[in-house]
Amino acid sequence: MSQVGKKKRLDAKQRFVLAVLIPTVLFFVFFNFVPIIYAFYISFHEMDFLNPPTFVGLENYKRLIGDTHLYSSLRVTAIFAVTTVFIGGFLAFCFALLINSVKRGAAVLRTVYFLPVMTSLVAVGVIWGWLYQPRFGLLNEVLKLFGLPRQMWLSSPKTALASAIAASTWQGMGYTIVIFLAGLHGISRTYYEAAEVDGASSLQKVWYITIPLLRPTFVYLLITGFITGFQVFDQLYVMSGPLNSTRGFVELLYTRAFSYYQMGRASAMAFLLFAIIVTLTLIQFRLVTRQQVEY
Amino acid sequence: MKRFVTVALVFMLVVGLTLTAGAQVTIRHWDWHQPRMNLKQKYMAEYEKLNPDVKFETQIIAWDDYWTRLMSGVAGGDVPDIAQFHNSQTQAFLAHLEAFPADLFDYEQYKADIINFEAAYLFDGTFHFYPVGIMTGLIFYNADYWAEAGLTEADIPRTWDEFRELAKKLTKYDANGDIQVAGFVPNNILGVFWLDLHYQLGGKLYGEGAQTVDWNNEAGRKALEFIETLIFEDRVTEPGFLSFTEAMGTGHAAMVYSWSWLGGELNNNYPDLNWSVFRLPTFDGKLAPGPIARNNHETGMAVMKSARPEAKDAAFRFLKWLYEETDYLVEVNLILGTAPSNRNLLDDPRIVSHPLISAVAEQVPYTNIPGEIPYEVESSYGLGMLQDLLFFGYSAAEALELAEAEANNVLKERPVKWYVEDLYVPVAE
Amino acid sequence: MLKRRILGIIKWIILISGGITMVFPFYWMIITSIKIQSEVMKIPPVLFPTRITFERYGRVIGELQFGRFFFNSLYIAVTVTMAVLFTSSIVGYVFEKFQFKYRNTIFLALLSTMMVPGAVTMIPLYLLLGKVGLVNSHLAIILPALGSVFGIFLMRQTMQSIPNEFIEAGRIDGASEFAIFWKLILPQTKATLSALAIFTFMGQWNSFLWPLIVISSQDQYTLPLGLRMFQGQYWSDMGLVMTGATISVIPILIVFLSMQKTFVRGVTLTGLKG
Repeated sequence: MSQVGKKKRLDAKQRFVLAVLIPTVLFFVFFNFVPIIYAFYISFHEMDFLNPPTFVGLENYKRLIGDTHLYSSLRVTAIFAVTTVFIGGFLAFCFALLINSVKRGAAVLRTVYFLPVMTSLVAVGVIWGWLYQPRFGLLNEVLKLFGLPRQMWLSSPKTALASAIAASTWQGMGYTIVIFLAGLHGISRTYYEAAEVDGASSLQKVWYITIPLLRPTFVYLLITGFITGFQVFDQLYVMSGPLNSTRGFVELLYTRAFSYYQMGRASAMAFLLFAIIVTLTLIQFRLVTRQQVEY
Repeated sequence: MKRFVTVALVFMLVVGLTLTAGAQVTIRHWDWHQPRMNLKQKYMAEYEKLNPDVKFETQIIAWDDYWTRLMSGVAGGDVPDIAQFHNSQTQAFLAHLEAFPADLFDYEQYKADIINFEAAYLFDGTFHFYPVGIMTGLIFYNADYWAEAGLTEADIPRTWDEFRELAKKLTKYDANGDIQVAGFVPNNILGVFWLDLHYQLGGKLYGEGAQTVDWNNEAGRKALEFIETLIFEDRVTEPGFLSFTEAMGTGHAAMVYSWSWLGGELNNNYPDLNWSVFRLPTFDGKLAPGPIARNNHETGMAVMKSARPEAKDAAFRFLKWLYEETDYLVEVNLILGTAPSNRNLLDDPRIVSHPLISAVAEQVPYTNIPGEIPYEVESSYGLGMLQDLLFFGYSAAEALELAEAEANNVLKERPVKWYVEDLYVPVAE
Repeated sequence: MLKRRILGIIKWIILISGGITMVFPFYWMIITSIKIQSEVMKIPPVLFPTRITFERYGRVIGELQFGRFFFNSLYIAVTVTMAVLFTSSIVGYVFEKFQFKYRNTIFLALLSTMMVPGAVTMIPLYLLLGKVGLVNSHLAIILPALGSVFGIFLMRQTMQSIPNEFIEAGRIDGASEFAIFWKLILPQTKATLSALAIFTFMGQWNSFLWPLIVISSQDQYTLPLGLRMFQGQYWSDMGLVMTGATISVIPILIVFLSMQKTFVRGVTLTGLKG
């Protein structure tokens, strides 16, 4: 009796597992694996919607070399990723320290700084586009108040990228602050108390205690920051500057695929992006682990 | 037995015929322009009444997505039977459009009646989208500012020198010396404006065979330097000023350069604005021999090759009917701000009495159609870049060199096959 | 002591001016949307309008279809969130609590797809969906989002802390496998589920690139697409554009403010990134 019961139960378990697993596997095969393989296939073909694909070998990859538009979009993307990660990260760290140090109002401050994170990047672009408007925008009026000359902001290739990055930093800083705050909460008070006994200044405490102990947070933010930074699209697309001054890699890919119908070429670009992200992540891991050994 | 079979066959045939005859045909149609669609729907309703077996199903798709959607539709089998067409997409779609059948449409008559028919519409002896109207670049002006400055129609400038003086006179600065009302705004359309000046000075859009563009030459530099003078010496506008549409609509421009479609936009979005229009000035004040500007055709509808067979025939019959409706052809041109392509309609009282369209009609004989201009050359590379280059400190020669290189880059990837620039016949004085 | 005091004041000045910088653009957005037309584009700008109007809201929601876009966004985000919560938790549960052949291989294969940037799958997925006629429908957005590798990973982690005895007890009571999952296991993962819900909902609500690719008819637009269209079409009427922006931003801010503790916990748990 118990034998039979056990067997029956096993069957029920197996059935349950299969009932969950089969659709799961099918789903991810269709929506992840097949597209990845198909993308690889497309990247070796000349392909638009209308004509049957023609095999072109490595042609699409060869064309990546010497493609000036691609270089300029990579430059834009790299500048965006580096500045948002480092400048945005630095600002967020400072604000997180300040918020962490206040006794009352920390929760309110955190909420306020987090508001822009909830806003869609398209809305951020639209709102800042209005603030940046060279003629009627508010920012130029603020400059005027301080006797500074009028700026072109998003309308000049010289300042467009910096302006778009500033707006993105405004949007994303609250997120980084919250991550830092979570890290800061995890640091035991006893470290600081010990340092205070030794007469350490606030800056010394930050430098010798906080920063080393927040290491995992820094690593996490660095790696995820670069991965998302290199895939930036929304902000730069909505806050576009003249002469392609804010056209990032994904936007160029999008344009080529869906406006010029160069599917093969765009797919080759996508794999280049993949390679760049993997390489950067590996390098960062390397650096991080090596430093750890030195400690 | 044999008899039974015959009877059965005849019976089936009869039943089949009556069924097909009574069958409904639904014609699917896409357009990106709501006002034009509204007008078409009016005529479609009328046609449905005349032909109870025909029904229409219409859909508006935004211009930005229209061509991608049509393209993927062709690939995936989800296409309209009749698609509104635009000739900037000729190269991509020509192979997928059904030719207008010669037994329904009288080709010889079209050759006689329609301006540029052979250059702009005939490909390998057939045409695939219907000619509707012609557009060209003009100067729009704010009639209130004009009157405020004591100007009348007699002051309409004929030469660019007169135009410069007028633009300077109409520019208003505030206490800080910032421009409040710009005398002339070519912002956001500067490359297109430049091309007209380039034509006036003897230049062309394309080099031999349209393999490359031909811009960085004496004519091109002179044309760009003229614009440079307007902006940096005369200060009638400035970099970062509102776009031509925006400035005109919101009363921050006394004059703007635009293609004639702006008329419709202004009427729709700024009904209170008091505006008028005049043809482009020239360097010597004369129109002939031309060309003094570029023109382009606003095309009508096309029937898709991959449309359902039962709808195709009905579609052509409908188009035949619609395009013989003089009222429709006049009304659609009024909506679009274009001059009718059909010469016979140019005398229509509704056209003659329309200040905008009569200005287009006056200028059109002196304008040239170069053929297809890839969208990228017009809006993102090449012509589209000229303004930025000029605004941000490049000299005319440098700007043209860079823009030319960018445009040639595009042409290398998307060669232009429809190229008719050299067919222009200079007009006698 | 005095030095400390001054430093404290400086600290607050920095924090408050930072806070104003965070909030002011929202104020400017809202105020632009309710100004009377003649004050919208005025130099010097009108910071505190004397007269306000809500006329634009009616027009934007009705005639200009923002009500529609809002509904589309809401419907897509809610559907996807519900689905992801269910699929992630049940699949995570199976991977954590059951032994089967190739378990780790399959799981690793799933995780590996997280490394692949969306740009790689975007083109083929578009073509594949086009072949089955799903382009330009909400299904094109919803279907690929029904399962989330990240969600599965997160839920599997959470399931680790649930003792196996629970499941065994359920089995002894004769409950079906699904009932065990649904009634005994799922309620214990509420904290993670709410975090995952926020993460998924926000991701869908603000998603732009994929809808931009697959949606073309205006009546199918989501809020970001509608807003983007607005920016292009009504550049000259900032009052109208800011009305659209307010409609797409404010509801989510209200939701956030009313349950911000859950949000912040969710962010730290999932690493949500806007």
